[in-house]
Amino acid sequence: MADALAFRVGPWTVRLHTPLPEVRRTAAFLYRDYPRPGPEAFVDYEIALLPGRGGRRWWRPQVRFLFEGQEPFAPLTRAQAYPFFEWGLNWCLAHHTADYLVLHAAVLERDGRALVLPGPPGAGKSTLCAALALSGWRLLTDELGLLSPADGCFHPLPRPVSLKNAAIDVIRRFSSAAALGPSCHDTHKGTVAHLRVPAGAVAALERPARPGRIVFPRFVPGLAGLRAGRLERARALVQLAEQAFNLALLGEAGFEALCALVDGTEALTLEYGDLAPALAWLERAHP
Amino acid sequence: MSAPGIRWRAAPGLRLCRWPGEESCACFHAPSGDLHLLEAAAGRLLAWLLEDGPQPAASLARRLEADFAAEPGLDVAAWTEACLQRLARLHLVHRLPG
Repeated sequence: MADALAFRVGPWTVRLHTPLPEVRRTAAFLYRDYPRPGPEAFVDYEIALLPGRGGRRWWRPQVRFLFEGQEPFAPLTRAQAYPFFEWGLNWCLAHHTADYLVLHAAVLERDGRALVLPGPPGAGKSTLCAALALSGWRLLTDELGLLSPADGCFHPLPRPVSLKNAAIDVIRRFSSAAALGPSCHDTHKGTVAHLRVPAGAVAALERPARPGRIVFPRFVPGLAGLRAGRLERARALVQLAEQAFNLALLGEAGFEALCALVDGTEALTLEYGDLAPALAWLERAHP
Repeated sequence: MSAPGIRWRAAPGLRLCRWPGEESCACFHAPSGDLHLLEAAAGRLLAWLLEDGPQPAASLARRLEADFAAEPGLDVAAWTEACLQRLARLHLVHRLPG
């Protein structure tokens, strides 16, 4: 199809079909540096983002998300079209793989070791992740950590970093190198904008990283300074399991992978209210 | 209280994860895929049932008394029974008839 954009992201090929010009523009901007498979390549995830049906093409226009021809979500307003693509793709990747244990975590690498930042939405991991990615750390993922039971390493899945509300301006001010897509207002998460992954991280799509440190972050508005501590391994194990999308699917293999991760990696907690001291602390805490 | 002949056993498919120097432990129930965080004494009960096989609550309570400095006035037998009931509700232990 002429309106398709295919790109390689981590171990998979994604192809997006959409006639919506704003989605095509934003996807082309954010996925500028990704490998483009040829038309004969096997596609793992076929996604379509289409205008609403009937009158909803024009009156309070909507957008529909299709995966392999199925429509797993209710339509959203057309204004949310691009974030809808990213959210829907997250769901597809998180729930349709048995090769990796998928953790709700940001993962970055420096000196060959991965920093794992697990946490639910609102924990502040995307802001930390964006700032670290703009400070010389290699971004493996901001949302879906791919832990391989086969080798115990995190495998890259670098996709645009989803920033929400105040974090958008925080990151814009943080670095002049921050390449941000358009802001989308009034989503169920507030205002959302995506940060383009630095080209160096995209170029290292095939390079996994051995776990180095697990840090459970929590953003506490107004907190002066930092609160940090060590987490018992059993607690880390259970908290990681709570952030796993497909542990039930992987069963014991997934559990073994989590145990190995916790066995070999110290887990810490970090509460922060300001970005700069948190980044300095993470630099020091990295093995 | 369990009747005197009642013994407790660990459910099949359990994996207990403990680390030296740490109080809490994690217990994975493979048939359901559930993972539970257990405090020290509950983890110890489960470890004894896994390592030594089915036992009555009274002998588990005696072992707990020997291993833990219980709070003054705590009825360890009643506490043990209540803990086993909690573990049973999580499908981590079962009663065996005498």
